[in-house]
Amino acid sequence: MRKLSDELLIESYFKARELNLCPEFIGLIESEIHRRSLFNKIRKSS
Amino acid sequence: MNGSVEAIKNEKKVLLLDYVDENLGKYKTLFTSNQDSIFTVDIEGNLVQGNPAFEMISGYSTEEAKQLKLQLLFPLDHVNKVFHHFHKAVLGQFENFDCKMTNKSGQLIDLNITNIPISVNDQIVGVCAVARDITELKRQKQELRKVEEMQRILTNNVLDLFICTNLQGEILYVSPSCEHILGYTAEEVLQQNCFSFLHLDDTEKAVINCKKVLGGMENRRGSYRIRTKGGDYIWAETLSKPIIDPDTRHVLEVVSVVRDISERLKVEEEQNKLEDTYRDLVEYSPDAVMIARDNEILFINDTGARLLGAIKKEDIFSKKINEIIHPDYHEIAKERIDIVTSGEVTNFFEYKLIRLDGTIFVAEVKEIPTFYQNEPARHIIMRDITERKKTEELLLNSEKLNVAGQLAAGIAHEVRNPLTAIKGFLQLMETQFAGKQDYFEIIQSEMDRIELILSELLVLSKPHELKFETVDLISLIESVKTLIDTQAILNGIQIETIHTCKNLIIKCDKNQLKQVFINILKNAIEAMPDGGLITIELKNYSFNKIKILVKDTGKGMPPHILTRIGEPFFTTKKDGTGLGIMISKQIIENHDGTIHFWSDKKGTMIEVILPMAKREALK
Repeated sequence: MRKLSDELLIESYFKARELNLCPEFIGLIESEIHRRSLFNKIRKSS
Repeated sequence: MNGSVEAIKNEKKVLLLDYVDENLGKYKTLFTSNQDSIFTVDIEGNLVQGNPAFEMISGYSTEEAKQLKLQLLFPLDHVNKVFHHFHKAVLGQFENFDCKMTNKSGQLIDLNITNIPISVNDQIVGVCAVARDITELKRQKQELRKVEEMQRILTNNVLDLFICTNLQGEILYVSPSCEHILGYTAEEVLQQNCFSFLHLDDTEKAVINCKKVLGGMENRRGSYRIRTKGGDYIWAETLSKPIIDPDTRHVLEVVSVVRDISERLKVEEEQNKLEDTYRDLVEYSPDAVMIARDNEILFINDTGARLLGAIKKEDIFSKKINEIIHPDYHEIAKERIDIVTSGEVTNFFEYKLIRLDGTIFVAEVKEIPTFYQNEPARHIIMRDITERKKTEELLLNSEKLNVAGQLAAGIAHEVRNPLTAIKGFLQLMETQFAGKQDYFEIIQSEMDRIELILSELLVLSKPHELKFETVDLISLIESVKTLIDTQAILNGIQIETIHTCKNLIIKCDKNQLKQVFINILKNAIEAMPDGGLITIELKNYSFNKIKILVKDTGKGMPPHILTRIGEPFFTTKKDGTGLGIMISKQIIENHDGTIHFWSDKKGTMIEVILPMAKREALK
């Protein structure tokens, strides 16, 4: 997860939400986004 | 002057001799055959004559006696006294006194002497002494006094009470110890009837006893309660002896010795109590106790009899020690018997013992040297440790499970996050690899399986997260039944619930308990691929527990599988996790319950026992 680029991470996040994948997985990505302080990116877009 | 005194003396001497000669003739028999010694002395203390009795005691012949002076006859310390009395006699007084005399051979003789002055022509010319030998008399008197003294000391100081009664039972004499023992002074009891001092319940017995003493003229013992002056009663033992007149053979009086035995009775009672205590200690000891000598069994307590499977203790007494000990242990037993016989205590040692019905069990045995009926014997303590061994094994097993469970749960926890990531990204990829759908399905299902295992493992590590609530067990079972019913009907299986009682309220984590019954029922369904019947039975077990029995009519389990049930990752199913039963067990245990499995070729029975909710919890 950490090796993923920021763009890919954000993309994965939206895709996961779009596909309605399991909440734990979404939670994992969210916490990684949080760790990288990219939270405003997903907030803006969503 | 001297001359005239001598003349008077001589004159008197002559007068005396004359008198003696004259009277000797007159009273010769009286003089010679008198038993008392008679001797005559002149006023100067010279012996003039002595009779044969005097010769006898003094040892001097008549002729020798005539040469004697008075002071030679008496020991030095008596001479003064003798002269004093003679002097008085010379003055005309009759004197009687006791003194000692030395005879010719030097022996001392006690004499009682009476001095009679001899007067001729109104003047005293000599003294006639009548002496009686009182040596023997004195000795007897002294002895008598000694005996009397001893008796007095005895009666005064002996703690026993002596009573002398007449034929009617009136008290004629009591020893001084009466006051000490009963509190009465002698005056208070004399002339009283001795029966009036006895306890009413004992009077009849005493009268009968007394009649026997009087009639049979024999000594009788009895023990009675006697009233003291203070009004209390003491237990006393009496020994009565009739005093029989040797001539008439009639009983004159009865002498009784009374001894206070209250103390002794108390001690005896205490001893008996102590004995009872010891007996109870042994008899009701949780350990089996046996007393044996050599190869014989002399005593066994109830626990011991039960341990060896005997209905009657006699069954064991007919056995030998060797027959109880497993042959493999005879050698060791022999060695240990030698140790005990030499007086040492052996420590607990595990033996295999044989019950009366032939079954073998393991017991700890300790032997202590002791005495039984005054002969050396062995005190054997036996403890059945079959149960303990089983418990130890269980404990070990559950400890193992616990460790395995925690380890598994720890791993599960660590693996879960990476797994979620893998699964998530896989699903993201899936949209791009539309052509390889089959592969993705396989990966997906395997992932699901891993997740299932992990989630089950996690249950093990979370016993503290139980949410207890009061639940009606019947409705819980019914809801599980409806949940599983469709699957059951598909396999041609019928599920029946039997409950004989209502309001089986328990405190539990609803979801976890449901999980347990789902596990159990799923197993039952899988055990019956060709259909069958499952019965779920609910009933009260003891007053605060509920027993749930789940029976199936499947193919059952062989023993080697039955024993491994509950081991982690042990499964007989193609796609089983080997955790279901283990988790169920864990959940039931977290609910303070127990779960047991029985199985044979006709099916399997699972028994779950759960505690009922306490009444105050229901309010």
